[in-house]
Amino acid sequence: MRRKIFAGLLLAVAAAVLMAAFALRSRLPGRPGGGVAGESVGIIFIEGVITGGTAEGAFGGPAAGSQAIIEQLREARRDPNVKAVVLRLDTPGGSAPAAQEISVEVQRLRRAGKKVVASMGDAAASGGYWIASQADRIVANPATLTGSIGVIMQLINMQELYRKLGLASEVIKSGPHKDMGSPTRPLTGEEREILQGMVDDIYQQFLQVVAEGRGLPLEKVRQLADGRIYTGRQAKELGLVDELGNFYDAVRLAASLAGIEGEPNLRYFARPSPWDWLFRLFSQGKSALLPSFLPWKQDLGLALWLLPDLREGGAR
Amino acid sequence: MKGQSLLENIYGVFFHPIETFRHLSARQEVGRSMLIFSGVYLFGALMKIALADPALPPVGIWPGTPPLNEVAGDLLGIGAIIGVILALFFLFVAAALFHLIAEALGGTGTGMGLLAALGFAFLPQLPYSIASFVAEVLRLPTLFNRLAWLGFFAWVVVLLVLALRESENLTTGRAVLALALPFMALGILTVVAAILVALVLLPSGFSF
Repeated sequence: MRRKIFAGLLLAVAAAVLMAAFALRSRLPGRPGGGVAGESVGIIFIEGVITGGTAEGAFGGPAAGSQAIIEQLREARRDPNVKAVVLRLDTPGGSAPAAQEISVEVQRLRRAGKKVVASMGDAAASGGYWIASQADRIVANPATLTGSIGVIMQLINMQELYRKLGLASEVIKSGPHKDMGSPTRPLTGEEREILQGMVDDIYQQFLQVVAEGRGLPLEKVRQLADGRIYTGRQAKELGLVDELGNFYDAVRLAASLAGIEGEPNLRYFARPSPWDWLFRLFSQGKSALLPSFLPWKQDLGLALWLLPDLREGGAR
Repeated sequence: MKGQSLLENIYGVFFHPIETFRHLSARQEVGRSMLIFSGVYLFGALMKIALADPALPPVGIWPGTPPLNEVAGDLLGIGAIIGVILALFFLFVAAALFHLIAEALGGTGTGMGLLAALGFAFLPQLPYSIASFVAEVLRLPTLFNRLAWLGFFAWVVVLLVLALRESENLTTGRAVLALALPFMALGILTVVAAILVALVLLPSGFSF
């Protein structure tokens, strides 16, 4: 009898410890959860080339689709428990309108009373800086590549190649500029002027956004915005970055700006990726498959339209 | 031979391991052995799931993938399910291998008898996991956990030797040798493979 009691007790204690481990997991040392219950810092990743749409990169590769990111920003705005958001940027830039769309949503997030801190990883240049400039604070590593404030439009004239291949383009158009930028012929002087005007206009918008976001005089921003990249340390000296530090420094700063005491709870906003889909399929059954499959399917089209998007111009 | 209940088997492994292993292998309690082995494995896996979050960074495998610490539970859940099957397979293979070596060393037991005993030899995982959890809750120094692990490891090795000895009717020395031989062979094979790889890969001259 004594033997059975001992073995039964051992099994009961093991079961109790298991339940306690699950129940206490958030209170154990080293776990987040030191702040007031429910108050958290949202984390939104902006990684890869910034593009329009919902794309997150083919097969999990890096691409920051503006639609996916603004949905995450809106979710963070609606969540009353999220008191601050860290934008983790690791991007060389990308499409100007996509960066603009994201930065508008960042502004709305701030207007809703949430603190926003931009944390720069390897790089947060051009469109990445456009977005970062809208945050309350910017934290960069000393060696982060940032800046590159400017606009570039690159077109390829393949007329000679087509000629060598024996291809001739026939164009029927409604107006003289409808095929402006066509790879089958060089730009005319007038077309160059039109495109230059567009680039200049987007550049002015970029300057304005940075000047307002960073609270810097427009002229100073113009001086810095000759398209060059800066290291995080140089950017701090020039006022383009507030603090030097890593991701966790940015989290701490966000928590402190939002008045969260202690180690903050972190809430990651991420759309399901193929990996996530796979993991959840195993852990939650087939029902997890349906909502996650769609974005992944859209990823397949990314490679097809990413190239023309970059060719047609962007804040890079 | 009087039969024992499962609870008596568990008690016996902790307090009378010699008689218990002898009993288990004589009666070839393979079903109980598998049950205990998978139960102990699952308990360890679930404890890891419960305590997994801080061990993983809050970043994805690559950009766009969910943060590792968020999917740690899922990953370990998948691992636990696949792991039970693999662990039971491992138990079969280990029993077969150890039985083969034991026979070569003069053992007279059966493979099923050894399998029945081996499954119970990992029971110290239960007190070890409980001790680890308590140490974490009480914020005891890491040294405590290391010592607990060392104790657990030594305990399991002793139980494996006893399981081999009692199931295969070997002397203690031969049981130790039967247990150590596969690891020694593996070590020698690794060294030989490393030497062969180094010979193939090393350039003929110095390069910087």
